[in-house]
Amino acid sequence: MSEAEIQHEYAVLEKSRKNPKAFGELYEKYFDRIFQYVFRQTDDEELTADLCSQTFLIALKNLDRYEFRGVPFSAWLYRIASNEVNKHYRKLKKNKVFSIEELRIRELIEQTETDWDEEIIQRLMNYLKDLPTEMLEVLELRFFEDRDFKDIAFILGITESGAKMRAYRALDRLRKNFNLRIKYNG
Amino acid sequence: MGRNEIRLRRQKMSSGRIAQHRNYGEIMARHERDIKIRRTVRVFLYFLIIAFLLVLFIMVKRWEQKQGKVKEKTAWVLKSNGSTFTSAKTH
Repeated sequence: MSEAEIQHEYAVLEKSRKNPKAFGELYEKYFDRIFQYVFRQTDDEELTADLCSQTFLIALKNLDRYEFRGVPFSAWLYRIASNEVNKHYRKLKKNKVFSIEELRIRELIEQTETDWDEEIIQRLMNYLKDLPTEMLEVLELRFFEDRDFKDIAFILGITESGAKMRAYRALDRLRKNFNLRIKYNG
Repeated sequence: MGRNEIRLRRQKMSSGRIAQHRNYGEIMARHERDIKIRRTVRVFLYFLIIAFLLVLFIMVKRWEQKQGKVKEKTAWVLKSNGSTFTSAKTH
């Protein structure tokens, strides 16, 4: 995100504090991304729509409290969305769902062996199933949402080194268990 | 059983489908409703605080009046007792 874009967003936020209608611009800009992010953690369209509305409503309500902390505004929206999703699962007392796109996985993983088949995907699913939720959250934000570690740390309320550590550990296990090469330059 | 439930989707959800759920008008309406509720609650709370202070003020005033009357009565009794005492002494 360029400096000019951040400045523009900040100006829109300032305007939104006085006139909530101005927030519509940021709503239109980030709705799809937040929707995809929440949908990946619920796999339920209606529930995602509800949680998304709640996310933007909370953002709108707390605009006065928002202050720039070196991360883009979208990171704040992701943080609210993440809190809403966690609140939902805490209420239901259920395991978290991660619904991931096969296409994206294929994009991310360069297989070293020649046979890229359903079996390896199944093994990968089983591996992810046993991965701690905190690690999965970091992986999701890093590889499916393309967020940098500073943003991830802010979204999940952890330190940047903590976020890196979680990602590296998960990737290390993945490389060892599957002999895979992951397109990753972080 | 694993810690998480992992599901695999063939593709990302399309923008067109997501757009069906996009409704800023509804968010604005909910926001305005929330503001109204918050304002009403605030006014009600102020009213309660003022009413409580008023009741407290009235109670203190009444207590003061009562205290004043008791003092007056005691003074009167003492005074009348005093005069009886002096008149008894002269006899």
